[in-house]
Order: sequence, then C-alpha cells, then structure tokens
Amino acid sequence: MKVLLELVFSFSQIAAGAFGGGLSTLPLIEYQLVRATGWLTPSQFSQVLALSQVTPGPIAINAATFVGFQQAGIPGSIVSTLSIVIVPVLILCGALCLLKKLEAEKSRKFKDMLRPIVGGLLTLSLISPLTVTAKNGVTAMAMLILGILLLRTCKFFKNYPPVLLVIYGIIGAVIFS
Amino acid sequence: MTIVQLFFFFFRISAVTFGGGIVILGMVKLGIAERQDISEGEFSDMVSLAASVPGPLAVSIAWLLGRYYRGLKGSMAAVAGAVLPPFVIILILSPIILKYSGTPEVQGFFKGVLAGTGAIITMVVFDNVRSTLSCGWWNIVPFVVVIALIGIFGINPLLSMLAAFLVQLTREKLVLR
Repeated sequence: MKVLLELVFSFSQIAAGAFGGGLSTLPLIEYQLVRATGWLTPSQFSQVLALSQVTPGPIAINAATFVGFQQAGIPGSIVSTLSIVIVPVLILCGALCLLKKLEAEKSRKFKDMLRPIVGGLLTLSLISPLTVTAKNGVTAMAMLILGILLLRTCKFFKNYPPVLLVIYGIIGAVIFS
Repeated sequence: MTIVQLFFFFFRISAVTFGGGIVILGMVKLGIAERQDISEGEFSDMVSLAASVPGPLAVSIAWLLGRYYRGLKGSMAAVAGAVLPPFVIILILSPIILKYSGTPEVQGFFKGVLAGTGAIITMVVFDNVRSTLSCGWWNIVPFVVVIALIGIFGINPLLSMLAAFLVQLTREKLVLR
C-alpha cells in the first residue's frame, strides 16, 4: 500500500510539471525516478527512455506504466498511469471553470513566459542520453553523430524517426552483444 | 462523434503515434479536418488551452474534444482511448524487459536505440533553443535559471520551474508596464 501511495505522489508531481509535452518532461521523470526515489538506476532510466521512443504514447505514460509495474505489479502500473492522467485533467477542469472563455491574449502570454523554461528542461533532457551513450563507447557515439546527420539530410528518417530507432536497436543488438 | 467513436478515434491515433506531443496534435487535426461539426477556430482554441496546461498533450486534447462532443462521458471515453494503447503495450513488454534486461542482446538493443534517441533529442533541443533564445535576449535568464537549479543544484524540477516562472512574473510586473 505504501509503495502505491509513493507512486501516486511521484507521478502526480511529474504530471503537474509536464509543460511543453514530450521530451521536456524528462528532467522531471529522471528526478523523481532516479534521484528522489532510487527506483531506477541511471542506466535503467536510459533504457526506459529508449523504450518510450520505440513504443507509442507519451513518454510520461510509458514511464509510469513501466515503473509502476516494476515497483508494484499491475496495481502499481494502474495507479501510476492514472496519476499521469488525472492530475492534468483536474488542472484542465480548474482552468475551464476559472476562464469562462479562453482569453487568447492571456494564454499566448502565459505560453511565451513558459517557453524559455521549457527550453531549459529540454536542454537538460540531453544529459542522460549523451552521457550514457558516451559511456557505451566510441561506436555508440559514432552512431549518435551519424544519426544527427541522417535526421538532417534524409527526409524519410526525419518524418519517421521511430524507424531509425528500430534499425539502430537491431544494429545495437548485433554489435554490442 | 458518439462516445464509442470518440474512444476509437483516439485509440487509433494513440496506437500508431510515437513520441506523443506535437505529433499527436497533427494527427487529431488531420482526423477532424473533414468533419462539418467542428470549426477550425474551435479546434485551435482547444489546442491552445491543451498546450497551456501540464500533462501529456494526448490526454488534454482528448479531454477537450470529448467534452466538446459529448460532455463528461465523451471526455472520459476519449481519454481512455488515448491512454489504453500505450498502457497495454508497456504492460505486456514490462515483464519481458524486466526478465531479459540483463541479456547482452536486449542491452545492445537499448544502447542502439538510445544512441538514436540522443540524435533526435539533440536535433529537437538545437532547433527549440535557437528559436527560443532568438525571441529576445531576456529569455536566456529563465532558461539559465532552470538549467542551473535542476542541473547544477539538483533542486526538485517542479520547484525550479516555479522559481523561474516567478522570475518571469516579476519582470512582467516591474519592467514591462
């Protein structure tokens, strides 16, 4: 029971700060799951990040389902995923009640103010994949740099990044094992 | 859309959309483009609000679109449709990954995917940071505050974001009058 409450507490905090969607949530997920609770080691965290990129759905939900299961089985994954859903829904309902109609100007201003904050979070989200890949060796780093070139130059990979990731995963399974 | 249609509309999109975030908004927009019962303006108001609240964009846009068509029940059906595919997929994969995460093949797979993920994040960060910082010199202040508080001092990201937002509000009140 205690662990379920801890899962709710951690994932509610992740959900409450998940502005900007997607990758900018990574520093919050890393802080809660690696630093604050120790549920994941840094290298496990990088595995969860990799997993979330080759499966559908928002990274926060992927991380919640996986870590919830790891900590407390199916009940754990249910309460963790629900936390990621319910907190934003409550905030959204609160916002809908407060503003009778959406004031475009205020909303735009709010998002402009958030923008550099989200940019900072995004920048921080680079640390984990870069340091872990550097630790994985020269070949892994070379793959990363080649990946940037492929995404810049090849339209297909630019439009379908998960395809690149799956190819990279297969290459990795062959050459790193 | 009926409640059942709402569920499957989001279920379908969520099951094939990797990474979440902006991508999902594009898919939803495509999906409702030929419908007569919602205008482009109404949808862009929803996108605007969805992007102003924390949490996965898939959840907030599903909630708002469900509410537009069928009220509370519509919201719940749409959110359930959006959340179930990633939840079920990770739930199926979790025990397999936990069991085999020690094998060299699985570790190699994740190393490869992580190298590709590093490439994707580098691209996203580069584009985002460049455009954020070119919006005005001030943006570098909250940007650096967030990175320093979380990355250097290891402060809870939620509190760090709040601090950076207070910096933004203070400037709003004092300087931009």
